[in-house]
Amino acid sequence: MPLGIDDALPFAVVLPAVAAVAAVVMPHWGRAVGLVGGLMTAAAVVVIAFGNRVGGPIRYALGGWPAPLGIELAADGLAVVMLALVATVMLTAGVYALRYFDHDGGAEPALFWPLALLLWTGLNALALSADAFNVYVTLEVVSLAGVGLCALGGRGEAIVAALRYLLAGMLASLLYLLGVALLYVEHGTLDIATLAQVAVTGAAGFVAVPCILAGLALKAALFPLHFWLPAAHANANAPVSALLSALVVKAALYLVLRWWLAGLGMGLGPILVQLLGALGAAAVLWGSVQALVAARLKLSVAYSTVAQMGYLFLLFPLAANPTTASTAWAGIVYLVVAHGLAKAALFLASGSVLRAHGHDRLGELAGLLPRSPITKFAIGLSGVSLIGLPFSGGFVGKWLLLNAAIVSGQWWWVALIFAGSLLAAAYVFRIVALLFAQSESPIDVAPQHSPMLMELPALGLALAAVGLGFAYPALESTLALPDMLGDHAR
Amino acid sequence: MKRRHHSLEGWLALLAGLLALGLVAAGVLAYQADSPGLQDLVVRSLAQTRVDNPVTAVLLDFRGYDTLLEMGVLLLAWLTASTLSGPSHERLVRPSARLESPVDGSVDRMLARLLLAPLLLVAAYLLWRGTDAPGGALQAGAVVAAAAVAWQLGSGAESSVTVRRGYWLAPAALGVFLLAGVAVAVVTGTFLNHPQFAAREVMMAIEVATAASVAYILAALFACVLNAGGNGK
Amino acid sequence: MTGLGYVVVGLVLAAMGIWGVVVLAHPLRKLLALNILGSGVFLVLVAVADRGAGQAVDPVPHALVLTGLVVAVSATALGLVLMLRSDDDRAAPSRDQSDDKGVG
Repeated sequence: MPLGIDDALPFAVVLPAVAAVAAVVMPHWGRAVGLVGGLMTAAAVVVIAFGNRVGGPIRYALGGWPAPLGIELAADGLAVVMLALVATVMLTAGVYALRYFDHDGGAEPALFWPLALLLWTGLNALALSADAFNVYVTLEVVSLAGVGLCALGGRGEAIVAALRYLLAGMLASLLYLLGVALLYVEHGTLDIATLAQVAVTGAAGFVAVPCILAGLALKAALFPLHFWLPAAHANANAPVSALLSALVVKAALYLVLRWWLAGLGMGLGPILVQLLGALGAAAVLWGSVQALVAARLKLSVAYSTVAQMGYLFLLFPLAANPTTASTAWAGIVYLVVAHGLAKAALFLASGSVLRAHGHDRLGELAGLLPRSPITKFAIGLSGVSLIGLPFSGGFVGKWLLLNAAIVSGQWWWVALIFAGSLLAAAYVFRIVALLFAQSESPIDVAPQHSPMLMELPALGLALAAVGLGFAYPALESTLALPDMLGDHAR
Repeated sequence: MKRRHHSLEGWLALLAGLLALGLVAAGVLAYQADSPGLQDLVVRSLAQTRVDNPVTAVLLDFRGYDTLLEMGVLLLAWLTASTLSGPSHERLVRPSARLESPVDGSVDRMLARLLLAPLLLVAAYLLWRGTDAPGGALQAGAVVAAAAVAWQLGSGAESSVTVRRGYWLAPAALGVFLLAGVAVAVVTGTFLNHPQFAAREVMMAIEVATAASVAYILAALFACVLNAGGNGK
Repeated sequence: MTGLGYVVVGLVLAAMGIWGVVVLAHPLRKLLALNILGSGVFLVLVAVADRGAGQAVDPVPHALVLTGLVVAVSATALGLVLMLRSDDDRAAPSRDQSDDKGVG
């Protein structure tokens, strides 16, 4: 049988999984296996993106059993965006990890590659799944891979953080499963497209939908369910922090978007919609303030993730109005990708700082980086996108959200976006100012030089985050809601 | 302070009660919807699967992809747990002090050995019968793991060596599943779509590998928990 | 409709589990509470397979439970290992401070 474009869907899941098995069986070949498997997976993603562009959304019935009996994979525009973001960050963090884990022996290099490849498997499977229970299994793959990566260093704080992360993740998955089980009792199907439409109007919806949303919000670290995130992301190895912050929290949000798009959003009442927006607002303010006062670079970056995830929940109030739905939607997708790239860049660059100085205490970093212009540049550029300065990717995302807020007459969200941007500017400038400041006291220990293979990936991601803004005119039509959903193909 | 703590607990208990009430109300309402379920569809499609037991057909054929990813979850738990409980990836499960001393003898060595043969026999029977009666790879794997746990408790350090040697069993199920999925795709054109003429053989291969991996990983996870407990220096 | 009683029991167990995870402090108790929550969900799924007299049993939720059980066991075991290791590290907090990649 000749391979068709559709076959790229299962291969986007199969290839990283095969590579992971190979990396487990041959721990000494982890790097080579990781790189080859990664490139092949990225190729499958490119094929899916191409197929989607040419022929619209692709559905694939695994085992030849269509839903509701079997499990279907589905690749629409949203899934392609997620797959592409995952592939970009995975490959870049993988290149960075080549040098980061270059010391031979020890469990870290041998374990990083299988765990990262299984994480990639889980993320791709999650992005492509059209089945509510299958999503639960992919959530567990992502969650256990995340916990394993988090605990990778084996240091005390990392282990404690990994345990909290695991407990929160288990509770979140089970809440989601509880909601799905209730929906199955009532409707007798597991197809997300069907369930999302009948869930809210059904008899069990008043409990099942909150269960699903609460589980996903806990996974996405929506305030006040973010308690597990800062320690887990700040205490992990730098490439791991990049993967967790850029991709893993986004995966849960992606599922919220998926359910919302399939019809859940239309049924949520105005109070619940504004409440979700308010939680997002609280996340923006609380996360930004914590990022501003954090004593360590990576902790500050981790709290910034809490803040940036908050913006994404503005989707609910802004897209509830049909006239602004498409604008708000494009803004959210832009912010997801821009934050993913910028945050991964920032964590990778922080790892270089940490490597060079042996610590990341902000109070002691002043002027200590005269020899790392690339890393400084990467931190500055990703900061530009996080704040949303023109014409970065973050700027376009916030600008679209502002548009949606003004047109739908919800001025309070305008105020929030401005306040959040000011706070982001404050915490980014605090870091940048320290890095560019002249050192007052003589440096007693010369910092080690960061390898190019670690500095360039961070710079590449930061450039991509900023460049995303300039690409907006070309992407504008693809981001429109009907195109994303593939309505034109139906 | 104490009093405030108590009132907080009262509120939380009230919330839990409301939660239970809401859940039960939703459950009763959902149950009364009397949805048809998927059993008719399963029964109608069973003839095309070469498997007679509907649960096995769902696990290995209709929703085989779930089981594939589930093997990934098992592998992940084992990877992290075995690394954390031992010193390095090479020595996946280390015989530790705790495993040898306080646990040793908690199950009579004689009893553990006596149990081994019948448990393995039960496991083999479950695996064999799984295609047409309740049973199958997961159940068989769990029974073998139970036998292995009894063996570990009865014999301490010796078992750790066995556990270490068999580490390739852990990724076996995921590997065989992926391989079989791609191999059948070459014939039928669809991933995980078992061709009629070889469906039974392919599924048996997947079942055996799944049982082996489940048995190995569950037994190893038990050893990991014991070792992690004994790792305090 | 004999399954309804089991659905109710399962949901009460689930509520107890959620309450336990939130309220109890020790990680072991949290893990046990999560297992009670999981058992509750699985009981609901097992019970709903009964689609009434004269109807065949719905095998799909049974298969989901078998999958879910394995996932729950793996996560619980990993949680136990992490818990035991974090206890070790609290007892000896200084052992990793010289590590160059160490954070904190």
